[in-house]
Amino acid sequence: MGLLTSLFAANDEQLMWRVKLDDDASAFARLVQRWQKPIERLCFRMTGDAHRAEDLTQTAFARVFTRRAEWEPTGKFSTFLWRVALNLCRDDLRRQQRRGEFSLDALIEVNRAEAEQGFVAGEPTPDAQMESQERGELVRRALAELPAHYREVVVLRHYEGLKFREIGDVLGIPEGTVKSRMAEALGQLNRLLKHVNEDELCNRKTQTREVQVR
Amino acid sequence: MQSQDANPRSAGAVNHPGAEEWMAYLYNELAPERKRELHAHLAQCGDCGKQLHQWRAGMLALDEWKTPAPRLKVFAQPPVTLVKWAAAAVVVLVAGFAVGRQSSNAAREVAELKNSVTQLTERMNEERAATSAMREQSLRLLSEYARLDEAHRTEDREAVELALRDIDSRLFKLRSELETVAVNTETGFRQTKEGLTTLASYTVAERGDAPDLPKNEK
Repeated sequence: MGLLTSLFAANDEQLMWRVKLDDDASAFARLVQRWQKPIERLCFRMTGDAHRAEDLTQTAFARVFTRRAEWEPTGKFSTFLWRVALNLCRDDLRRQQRRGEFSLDALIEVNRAEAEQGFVAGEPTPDAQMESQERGELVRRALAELPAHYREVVVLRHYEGLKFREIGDVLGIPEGTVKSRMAEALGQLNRLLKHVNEDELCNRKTQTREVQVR
Repeated sequence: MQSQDANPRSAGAVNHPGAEEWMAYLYNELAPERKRELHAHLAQCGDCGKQLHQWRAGMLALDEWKTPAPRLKVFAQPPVTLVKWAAAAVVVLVAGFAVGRQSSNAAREVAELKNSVTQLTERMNEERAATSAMREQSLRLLSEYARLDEAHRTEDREAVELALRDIDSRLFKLRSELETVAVNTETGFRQTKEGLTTLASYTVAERGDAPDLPKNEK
């Protein structure tokens, strides 16, 4: 089936060409179908909010359609799409920061609550899984504390698997800059997580002592 | 630490790869040969090993935030559904192919092309017939004109010949009249001469009778 599909399917650039020239709605629908999940993942990793990620994804595709005339077939369609989505994420983050709505701790609380609800509704959760969820939360928190220009490099390389060169194309910066940002981001992330881990250890020890006292 | 240029280390004459190269190493984007070189460097350079360990720890931490929101699960559907969708897709594909062949643009275009070629040929034949008819008419008109022209010329020539003949005859008449006049004149001259001679002879004969008369005449 995969082979069949790949034999008959038009590539992204061919589809986008049809969208640009003929306003081909079915071609655009296929592009959305292909790219909706990666773009939603990107927005989710950048904003840390699934609902906002969903909205941003829809806006990104709407913007790609309205700007179809600007798309040049010399570059990859995905580069164009990643760029549009990233710009929307940056705007969104700036807006949230201006409004003062962006509270990482609150976000983590919400996510933790959602995760716990999920576990209650699903199968009984082993402790290991719960622990893994908590570690995931910590990473999410640390990543959200990184400057956006580090976070986007991490998300595109580590989670979405783009090559450093491709990330350079998306961001419009040299490949070397992308790599040094990645190195800096990994270093900062490691330091942040060490710090958080130490705090967590402290908290746990304090809680244990309180229980023992009682 | 991350870049040799920024922070040269005291590990002798060894060239430490920069952070950028280590990133390419960690994410497997190096050429195999360079990768081996970096690997060999790592075996003997504690500083680089330590730095790499920190970066790797960061990468491992990132791996822990794996689960996106549940709505983003790609293969959440059971395989049966996928198979159903695959079967449906095949059916649609085959049907589409068949319908496409039936009403394919290519076939329609070829038919249209043939039709237009036939029409063009017909029009060309019509044009050709019209042209040849026009040519015939032109030839006919030309020949008629030539004939008329010839007739006119003949008429003119005849008229001219007639006129010439008329002139000739007049000339002849004139000449004969002139000759008559000349003859008459000559006759007149001769008669006058004769008359004069006679008159002179008369005068010589009568000189004796009237000798004063010639003197008076002189």
